[in-house]
Amino acid sequence: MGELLKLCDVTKLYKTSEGKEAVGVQHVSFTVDEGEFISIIGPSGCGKSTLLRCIAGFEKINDGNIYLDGTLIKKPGPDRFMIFQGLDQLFPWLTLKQNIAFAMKAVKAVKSDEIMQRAQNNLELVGLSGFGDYYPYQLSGGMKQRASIARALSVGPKVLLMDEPFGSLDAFSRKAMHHMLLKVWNKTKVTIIFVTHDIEEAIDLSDRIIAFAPGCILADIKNPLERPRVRETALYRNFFSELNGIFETNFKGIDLEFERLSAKKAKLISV
Amino acid sequence: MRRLFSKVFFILTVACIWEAVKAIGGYSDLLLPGVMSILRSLWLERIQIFHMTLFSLQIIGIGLLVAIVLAICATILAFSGRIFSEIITDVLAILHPLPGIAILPIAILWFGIGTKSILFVIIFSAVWPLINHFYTGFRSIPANQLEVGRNLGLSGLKLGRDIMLPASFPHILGGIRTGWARAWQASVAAELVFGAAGGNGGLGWFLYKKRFMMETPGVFAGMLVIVLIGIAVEYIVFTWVEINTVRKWKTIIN
Repeated sequence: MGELLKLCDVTKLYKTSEGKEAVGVQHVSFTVDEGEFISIIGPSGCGKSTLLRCIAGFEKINDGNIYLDGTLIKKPGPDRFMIFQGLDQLFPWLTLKQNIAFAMKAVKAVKSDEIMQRAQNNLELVGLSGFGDYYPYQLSGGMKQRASIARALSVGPKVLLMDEPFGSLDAFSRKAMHHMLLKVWNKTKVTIIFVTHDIEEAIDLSDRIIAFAPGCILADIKNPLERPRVRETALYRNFFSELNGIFETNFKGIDLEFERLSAKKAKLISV
Repeated sequence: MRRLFSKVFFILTVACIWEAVKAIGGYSDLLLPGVMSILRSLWLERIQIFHMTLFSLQIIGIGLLVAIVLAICATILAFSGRIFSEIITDVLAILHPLPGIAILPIAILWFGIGTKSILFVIIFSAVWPLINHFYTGFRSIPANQLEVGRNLGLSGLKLGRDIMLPASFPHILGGIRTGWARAWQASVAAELVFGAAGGNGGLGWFLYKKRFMMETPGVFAGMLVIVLIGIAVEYIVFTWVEINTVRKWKTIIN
């Protein structure tokens, strides 16, 4: 498996509304292999979502380069598909099947007579086979996120960018979503970059974990645990403590106010 | 069936109260005509009313259509640059509160007495609320939906047509409702002020003539027609559109 995504010295700056410069992401470099499942973890406002948005092409970066398969990323494209935390990312005026068909038509990747069949296959993949004709409002939060994943996969992305996709769900449906996501990943072999602030979620899911602190990488660690991961084992707890320790030592002197300067919450202006 | 029944009952009740007020107050037909004389006038003038209604609907339809096209252009412009959005916000603040009828003198100066002036007043009255609703609607689209669109490689007019338009549809429908009402108000008001040229006028002209000839039942008959058209359009056109779009998608509360 070769290298798929490469970030070189990526910097993204923001301005607060008073004109002060705040760092979103600073001098970040790492690579992601094809088929890899990596998690980026860190507290709210540490820039991990910003980093994901830079990879997606939603944000113009101030410095550095991001390459996908050797090509420089300049703008959003269906080869990197984003799944958001919000439960409003499906188009409410289309049924699930139509949502997926819309995406496929927009990227013109699929022949028109195959679209409906492909949409159905994608719904089956995420466990929503009987719900193709439902409108988004008729679904639970978990089902909406499943449908969003089905839609994302339908355009055949090289990387799935997931920004706390299960953050709005309760613990029970989150567990089911983890199960489904791993199944989908095994089947499609799609590369996944998963942003979360939940350390256990990251351990359960990913091959590799990047610990992120305000603007930069604290640690880049391979997950040593065998799949499926069982939270009750000593190895699991040890790994959890190791990751947790990274944040505790690194976050001691950091002003909590700074953490709140999240791009989303403080309405920072991109510079 | 029950709903139809309750509506008929409501209308009969209003008619009874109307007659009671007339009887108790002892008002003449000139001040407050009875229900029957209004209906009689409606029947006697049915051909004239029919033609004038058609005229009104035609001119309002054209005016509203032009206003919608202008509003769409203005909204697209407002989204294509910060300067434009500021200009449009300012223009809206200046011209939206101005009653359409207030520019009638200018319209007459520019276009003379006739259909063109009325059309101008209608467009002027409808275009501001339309821009206001469209612009607000476009700005209240969930960011996630727009970004999914961008993620799919959509931009510009395609993004506007395929995502922004349906996503802001509750506001767009609201705008067209307001625009329609404003257009009606403007057309009637304009004809009430200066009448019509060449005997070619709408329901406002009808009201003007009836008032001029002191035929009060005819004035009420004209008003009744305006109200009935309003109800018909609301229940047949707008409600139908709503049921098949925003109510079906539950993007508005029933």
